[in-house]
Amino acid sequence: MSTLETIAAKVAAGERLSFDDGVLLFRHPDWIAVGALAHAERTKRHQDRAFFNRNMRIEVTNVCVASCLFCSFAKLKEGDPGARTMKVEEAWRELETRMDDPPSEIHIVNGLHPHLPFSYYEELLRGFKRIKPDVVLKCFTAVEIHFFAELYKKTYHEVLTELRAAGLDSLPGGGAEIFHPDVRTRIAHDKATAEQYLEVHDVAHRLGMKTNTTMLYGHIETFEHRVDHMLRVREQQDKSGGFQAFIPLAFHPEGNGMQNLPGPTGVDDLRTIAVSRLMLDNVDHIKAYWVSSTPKVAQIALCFGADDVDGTIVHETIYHAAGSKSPQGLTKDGLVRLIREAGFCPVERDTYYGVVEELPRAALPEGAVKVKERKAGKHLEVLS
Amino acid sequence: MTTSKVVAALLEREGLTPLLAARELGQEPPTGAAELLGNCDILALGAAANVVRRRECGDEARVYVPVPPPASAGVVVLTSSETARGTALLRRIAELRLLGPIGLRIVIDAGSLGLEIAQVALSFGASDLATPTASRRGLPMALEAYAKTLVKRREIAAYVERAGYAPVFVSEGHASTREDPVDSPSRANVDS
Repeated sequence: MSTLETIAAKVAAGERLSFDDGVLLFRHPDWIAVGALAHAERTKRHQDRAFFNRNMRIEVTNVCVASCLFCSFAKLKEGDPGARTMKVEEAWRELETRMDDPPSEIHIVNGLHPHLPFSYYEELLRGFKRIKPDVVLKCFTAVEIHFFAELYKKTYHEVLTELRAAGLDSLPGGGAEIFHPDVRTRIAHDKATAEQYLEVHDVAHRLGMKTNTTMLYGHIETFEHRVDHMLRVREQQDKSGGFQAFIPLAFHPEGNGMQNLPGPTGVDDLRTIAVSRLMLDNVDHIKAYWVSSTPKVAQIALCFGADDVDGTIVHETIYHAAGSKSPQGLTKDGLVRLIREAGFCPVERDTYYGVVEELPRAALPEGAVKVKERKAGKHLEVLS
Repeated sequence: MTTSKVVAALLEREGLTPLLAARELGQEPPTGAAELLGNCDILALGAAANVVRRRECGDEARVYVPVPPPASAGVVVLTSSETARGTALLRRIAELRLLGPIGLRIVIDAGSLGLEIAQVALSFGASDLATPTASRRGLPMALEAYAKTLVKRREIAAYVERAGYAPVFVSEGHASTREDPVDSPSRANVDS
């Protein structure tokens, strides 16, 4: 039978946790202890480094034929109030106006637009690369790739190969919601299934692409569903190995079909991060997406197993349509301060977790040096 | 809730056990305690503060509606005027719990600091929270408005319970009521 102590022993020995272990971690009343286990694991992998990047979010269309219950962003068709589809030139201009301090990554997530030609997306990507050839294009969720395959009568391999030829570098993790069919069929019945989502990533990984993956929690799912979701990610990662980061996304209830639900709490956010870190032993990074959880909770999450707070983002609209009170963007200085105040060393990364700049941590007061010496059992230790 | 072996090991590793023992005996904190707390692992700090909070304030968390009680010798109220935020705020709360007077009521103004942070703070030594939500007093009110008020109270009750505490609502007149457990789909999963 799982107990916190048997789980702690497994983690210390580098053993894989079971479904029952995961459920216990969600249910155990001592959630600080769960956080402590996750923090130890996070520290073993990343020491006191915390990652962020300079990215830019663009949503080129919010027209979407899917009817996901949790979504406050989508508009069913062009002409509906609030419906918007950018011309490619408009999207490019978003980058052009930021070339004095350019992002290293453009992150594009869209609605499933039924009438745009495939060439629109190819031209979109090509244009960004013309403006900034070294920008990394992390665009289109697996749900979009699946939709493209159906709409344009192509295989996943063909869609991805053609988009890669136009400049696509990586896929974001959006669209995973909850994999278990009991939940997925209720909240997102008319888009890619769990199997289709994972197959898209499988194909992408085999093409050499690195991708992320997500889980939307805090709505109608149970803890068992969350653990099941994590195990499916882990299983896929064993097969194809291309997931860089797992990103738990907090459900926001405003303006969507589940607005009667309360949404997750701060403790739930932190515990979910912690359990993710412990269950996903083959995924390097756990991201606390500050837009979904607020910058303050994301900062605390760095002590609960997360090692990444995402990036500057600039102009996020999907979560803000669902009532997120977080700012729409943070400056690099703001992210650095957030990380430093939590006692971590800020590391600006590129999309692939290559180090762009490793910034010094906040200066340790003299007392901290003494305490670290005592913990290390040393009379004198030079701290780097 | 008893201290798990995981937490006990964490407290031992961070050198916090003597401080907890001294406090339980009503003794002064060991020399250098403030420096130790200022530099120890934040989760160890939270775990230690939580142990002391349960010992001294029990398993209940007061929810002051709609405003916090006035600060006094035994009551500290933390509002948005605090400069500390996020992890720094949690550290400040835990240090108050571990070095402050026995049984100190530490009230977090959830209205200005946010319900999420207030909830997390309950596991870092805070004893109570205050929210601007309307109380049941003030009737008669429209049925719809009354229902909304109830939803808000239930939501706050769920936040407190998910942190592992039993909410006790305290209105301006200082009458307290314990909130009945709520059977929402998400809360049904929590053992606390």
